[in-house]
Order: sequence, then structure tokens, then C-alpha cells
Amino acid sequence: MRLETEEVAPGVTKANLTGRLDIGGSQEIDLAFNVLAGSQRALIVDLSQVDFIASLGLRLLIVGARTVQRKGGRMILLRPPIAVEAVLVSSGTDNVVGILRNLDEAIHAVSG
Amino acid sequence: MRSAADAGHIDTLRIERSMAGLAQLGDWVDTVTAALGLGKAAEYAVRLCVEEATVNVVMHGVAEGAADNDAGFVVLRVEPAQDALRVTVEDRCGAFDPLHAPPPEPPIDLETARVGGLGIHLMRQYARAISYERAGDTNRLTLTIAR
Repeated sequence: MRLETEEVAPGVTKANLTGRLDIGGSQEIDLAFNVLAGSQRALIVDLSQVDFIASLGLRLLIVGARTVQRKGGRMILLRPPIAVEAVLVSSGTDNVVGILRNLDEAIHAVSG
Repeated sequence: MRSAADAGHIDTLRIERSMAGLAQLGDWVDTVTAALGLGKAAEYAVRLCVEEATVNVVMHGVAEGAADNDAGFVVLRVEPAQDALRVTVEDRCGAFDPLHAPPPEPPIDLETARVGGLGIHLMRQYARAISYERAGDTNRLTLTIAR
């Protein structure tokens, strides 16, 4: 599991995740992702290269989004593949963490 | 039917009931789903069900007899069953039927969203059928997955 970051607009960070958010993958990036969420107010998590997620991965995303929100910021999920989006929807995660398919819309959403 | 405890085949995995054991699941699912020639949807379902069922045992299983070394292990098996796949997860912890867990309430906001308890809910979405039995001192969860 790989986690890389880039600044896609002033003050807006995009985290690019690559791999499987299974038990092993979630553990591998847990610390780095928590640190990232703790240091950002506008965070876009690009899931386009994530091909699996289950409950431990959902936990990672929800805790991260909550951390950002507690600082008055916002985290958005970007472009999950269909199979990953199905789990996000089935678990109700999409009720509490926004999912967008367009980067400009995501930048606008977290910049508000 | 062979018991899942009959380890030693590619389709069977015996792991420690620990985080180190859980870390072995990903590679094993890669191997067994490739050997069965599964498509992406079936592979996803197997991976999700294996992971959620095993995480449940590792996180919630309670060993009853200190003298029973097998209580520290989980045995998994994936096998073809007609037009489906049968996934079996066995442990020798205290009796625990995960199917009795109440369905989770959909989260309404981030602050109160639960970060656990989704495993059974997700398994129900991805398995055609799930059954639990207590066989002697063994918990056996059997999932039927469309292939």
C-alpha cells in the first residue's frame, strides 16, 4: 500500500493511495494517514488506484475525516473504483464522507 | 466434507489468532483465487469475507481453555461448491455466533459514526448465504459466495 501526497491548490492536499486497503494495507499507512489528517484542513483522498477496501479501511477513512473535521476542515474521497464505491455505499460511509469524481469539484468542496 | 482443520492443502490456511496471522491473509487469498480462476467480483467477495470473518475471530474470540493450544489459531478454507464457492472459517474459542449481532445503524454524521461492527453487515452483502454452527469445541462460519 502506497501513500503519496501532492498540493493540488493552495492549502489543498491530495493523498494518492495505491494498492489494497485490506488489513495489511490499512496497517501500512495507518500512522502516516493519521499524521496527514491531523495536519491538513483541506484533504482530498484519491482512491482511483485502490482496488479493495473492507471494514478496517473504512475505519481508517472515517477516523481521518473526523480528525480533519474537528479542526474545522473537510476531507473528500475522489474517484473510487466501482467495487470500492460499492463498499463505501453499502456501509453508509458515503453518508458522512463525500465522494466526488471530479478533481476541481473536490478542490472546491474542501476549500469552502 | 473435509474439515477446514485438515490443513496442508493450498485451499486451506491455518494462522495464528494475531495481527501477524491476519497479515498472511492477503497473499493466501491471491494464491487461492488465482488457483480457482475466479473473476474480479468473486475474488473481491472472497477477500472481503475471509478478512471480515477472520478479523472478527482475532478481535473478539476468547480462548476458554488455557491448555488448548488450538484456541490460538484460525483455520480457513475456500473450495468450489457447484456454481458457488464455500468459505469456511473455524476457531476453537468460546462459542460465538457473529450472526446474532444486530445490524449497524447507518451513520448520520462523522462525529457519531461507528468505526466498528461493519464486518458482518458487509459479509451479508457479499455472500449468498452465511451459516454458523458450534461443532464440539469449534466455531464454524460457512459462507457461500457466487463465483
